[in-house]
Formats: sequence, C-alpha cells, structure tokens
Amino acid sequence: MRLQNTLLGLIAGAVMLSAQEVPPDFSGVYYPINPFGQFRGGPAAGGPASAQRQGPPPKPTASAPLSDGSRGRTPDEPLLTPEYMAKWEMISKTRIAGSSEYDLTAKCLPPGMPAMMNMAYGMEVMQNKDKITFFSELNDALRRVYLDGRKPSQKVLDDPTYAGYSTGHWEGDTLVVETVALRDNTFIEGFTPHSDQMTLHERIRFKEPGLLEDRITVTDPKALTKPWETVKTYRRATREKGNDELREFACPEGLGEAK
Amino acid sequence: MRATPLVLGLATAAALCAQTPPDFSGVYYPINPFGRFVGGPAAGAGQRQGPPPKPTASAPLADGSQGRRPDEPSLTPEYMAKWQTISKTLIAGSSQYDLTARCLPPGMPAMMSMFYGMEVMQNKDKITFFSELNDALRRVYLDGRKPSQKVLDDPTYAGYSMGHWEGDTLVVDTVAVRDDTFIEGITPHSDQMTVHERIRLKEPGLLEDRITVTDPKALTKPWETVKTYRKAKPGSGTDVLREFACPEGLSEAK
Repeated sequence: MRLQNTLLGLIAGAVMLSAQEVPPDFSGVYYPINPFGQFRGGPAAGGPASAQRQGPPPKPTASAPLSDGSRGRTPDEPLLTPEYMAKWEMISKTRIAGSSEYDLTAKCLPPGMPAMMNMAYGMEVMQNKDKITFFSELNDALRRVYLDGRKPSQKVLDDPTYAGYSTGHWEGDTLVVETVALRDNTFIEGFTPHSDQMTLHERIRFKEPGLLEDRITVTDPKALTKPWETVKTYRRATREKGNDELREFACPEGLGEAK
Repeated sequence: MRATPLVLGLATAAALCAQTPPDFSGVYYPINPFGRFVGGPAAGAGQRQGPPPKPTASAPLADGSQGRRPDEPSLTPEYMAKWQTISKTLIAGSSQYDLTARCLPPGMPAMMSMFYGMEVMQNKDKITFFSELNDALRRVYLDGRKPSQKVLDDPTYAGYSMGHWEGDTLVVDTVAVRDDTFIEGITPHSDQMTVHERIRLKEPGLLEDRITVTDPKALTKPWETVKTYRKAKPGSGTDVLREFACPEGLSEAK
C-alpha cells in the first residue's frame, strides 16, 4: 500500500513536471502569412487568413508618397534619423538605377536579421532544449538561437554576421530572444538601413496551434528615432498538405560564373 | 499485490526508453575529411601513428593508375574520360566544374567531408546535417515518407534522404542527387547514383558515417568510405559554427 502510494506520487509528480516545464515545440516548416510584417497599431496580426482579405483594399494615399511629405516612406516604416534617412535615399537611388550594390539577396548573401524573418519562401524550425534554429529557404540562410544560457564571446561581438548572435529563454510558452553582433549592411525591412548599434528583441509563441507569431522590436539609437515594432505570423505546413518540405535554394546557380 | 501491475508498467516504460535512438545533435569536426577506404586502418587515434605512407602515388602516371589512387572510386571508361576532362579544366585554372568555388552546395556525398565543421539537429521525425562550408543543409526524413515524383524529377545537390534506426545506427538512403556533384574530390557520377549510409556513435562523442556509393553507370563497383567526426565540447568555444556567406567572395552580381 505504501509502495503504491509512493509510485503514484512519483508518476503524478513526473506528469506535473512535464506538463508545466516543457516548452512548446516549434519544430516544423512554416509559411509567412504577412511576409512584410504588420505594424502593431494595425489590425490584429495573424488572424484567420480569410480576415486579412476581407473588406476593400486600403486607400491609395501612399501612391503619391512624395507629395504627402512622407519622402517615399510609408508611416509604418521605421523612423530614421537624418543620417540614416540620407543613407536610405542613397540606397533607394542605386536601386532605381538598377544596381544591386546594396541588395544582399540579389548577391545570394543571407538576407540578414531582422529582414530574414520575412521568410518569404518558407521557414524551417529545428529545436531542442539547448538551441532553436531558423532556416530560410530564401538563400539557404540559417539562424541559431542558443537556449543554454551562453553569452557571445568577445570574438563573436567583434565579428558581426548577417544573422547576428541570438540568445533566448522561455517565459512560459513564449520564447524571448535577444540578438546582437549584426553586420551593419543588412536591412531592418525592405531596404531600411541600420547602424552597428542595432539590437533585436523578439517574443515568439504559438498564437494558436500551428500559427507561430514573432513580435520583433528593433532598437538602434544611431539609426532610429524610436524603437520599431513589427509582427510576423507563420502558418505551419503539414505532411497531409504535402507542403512540409522546403527545397534547396542554391542561389549562386543564378550568378555569373566565378572569375 | 496491486502494486505489481504498476511496477510492471514502470519496467515497460524503462524498456521503451532504452529503445530511444541516440541523439547525434551537436557540432562536429571531421577527423578524416577525405574519408578512408574501408580496408584501411581503424579510424581514430591510430591515424597519426607510424611513418607516413610510402610515396608510391607520387608518380601516378607512370604506374598505370592514370592519376587516380587505388582507393578512389573505380570509374567506367565513360566517367574516367569525364574525370580527365574535369581534371584538365581544374589544372587550367577554371572553376567550371568546381561547385564550392562558385559558392554552390558541395553536394552529396562529398559534402559529408564537412571540412569546416558540421552541425547536427535531430528530432524523432528528421535529422538535419549542416555544413559550415557553403552553408549547405541536408535533411534526412525519419517519418517513413518517400520522395514524391516531383522530388525525383527535380534533383538537388543534397538529394533526398530517408532514414530509419537499426538499434543505435541510423541507416540512410539518398536518391535524387544532381549529376554535377562529386563523389569525392572531383570524381563524377551519373544521375543513377544512390548513397547508402550507416551512421552511429562509434564511441561517445565520435560519430562515424560508413558511406556506400552505388552507380551502375559511372562506377564499376560500389565504392565505400568511412568518415569520422569528433563532437565539439559544449563550453569549449568550438561548438559554434560561423555563418559562411560564401558569395561575399564572388565578384558582384551582374
């Protein structure tokens, strides 16, 4: 009798532990619902896909952006300091002129954080207790988030990358991620530039089963007049639908032959 | 007395746990990136013992080998001629056939050389091998799926890999590999190549991949190689791969 009680207690304890402390498993293949993000002030992110397509299209006030004082930027884009506004205008001109000098993805380079979280062509998530990895079909770009409490070494901080260095921890069912050590030639979104002082804060969770939400806050005291927030939402692919396999991108196939 | 079923239940649970496959997850570095002929010495510590091999292969053209070592895949005449063409273009300084110089994925099975390090991500449905060299990713599906006709008609550098566990060994079969990848070095193969692998932890922290390459069109017989990787220790500072971003080194996109 005492043995039975002890065993029951052990089993009940184990069940409670696993129910409370095991974080959700984000592993899988996903496709973006809103690859270009969504301003937090806008309609609720990631609602049913059908809701997004309801109602009339937005009024075309941004179609003559230069006459409305916006200088070509929509109001929900990051607010740039004069220095970085000038940089954006310069990049804008090179692109209009047909140059890919500033276009990372056209050069088959990783899209870089946070723009890579658009995941336009699909995203694959691999997770265990120590690390969660986000893979972008676009340009085969990989991003690791370390969950084991490690911090970036000085060597990592001195050697910024497109994906940056991300550390995360779980707050209940939400993965909270901080990213540093980003190259200053990646884009926040579109081709909005940033400085080497940019840091990212993300809160990633299942908004509902199969619907992953990433709330991203971009802070950059040099390039932004205030932190910028965006929300990206991804729907999980299923084996039944047959869309849960990403394809190798092999971008350099399309480049001219190496000299 | 009533406790007995519970005890039996726990014993069953323990037995089920024992069948959980090993976890290969982690960062690894190759011990022998160029592989080793199966007939060779045992992988591991023995490698650095004894004198260096005799330089019999240093004059390969005089020994009738046509420039290929005896442990390289044995090519049919058609693919021997193809190898000679590729060899000549490389000597001439062209990167026409050199996938990695063009920042393309090294392709299977050559990618398993993993010169710059390998990262393994695993769950019950899939195991993923990532190569720091050229940021190349390879998935092995463990959930019993088979390639669709669309996949078979659309070969990739990594190919399409399906695996299952036989005890502590992961058995992997790969199909749908592009015919412009290399078996090893610059040894070509046909679109009929298939790759069979047996991957296991030879000892804790030492991962072994026994690879058999079959290609009825390009090879006179299946070719076997063994690659061994040592796991980086967490906290050692070596368990972090760096973004490769190969196209940085290419001339600007036109």
